[in-house]
Amino acid sequence: MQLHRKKEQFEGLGIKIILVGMGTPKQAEVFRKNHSLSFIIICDPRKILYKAYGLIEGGIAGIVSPKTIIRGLAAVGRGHMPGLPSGDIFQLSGIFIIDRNMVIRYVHYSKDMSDNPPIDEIIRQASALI
Amino acid sequence: MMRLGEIAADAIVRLSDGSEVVLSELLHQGNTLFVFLRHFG
Repeated sequence: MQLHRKKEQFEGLGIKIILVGMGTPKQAEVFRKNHSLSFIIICDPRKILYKAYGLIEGGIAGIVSPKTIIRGLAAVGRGHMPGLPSGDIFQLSGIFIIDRNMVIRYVHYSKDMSDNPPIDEIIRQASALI
Repeated sequence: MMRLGEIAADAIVRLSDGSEVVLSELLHQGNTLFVFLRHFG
């Protein structure tokens, strides 16, 4: 997982990482072990937080489109194997940077399943908090 | 900028170890990168 490889960089910026997923605690722990993660993981199978933060479902176009297929194949080429879906397969992801005063300072809502901001862009945004 | 407190700070969330915590308690600990995944995979 890209985030895990950059964990020390985020910690150096005073940023902690919290993951939210739709699975159960058992699924989350398997995920944690498989990727050797040390992040806090929130389990949100009823998507209460997903909805509260305005994350949407993408429909079939959010999963299968020329863009998602090309990006997916490129990711596999870089060694990132896609995981098996769990929960709502149409649910799109998102990233927020929230400062210590609980103000959202950066938002990225994925437009489809392949739409993830470059990790260096997230680090650049996080650096601005210091 | 949007304040999280208006959205879900009082939500009780379940962590992967099975424990429950109020979301604001996690977020008050400092700057946070909050990442919503598509799946645990």
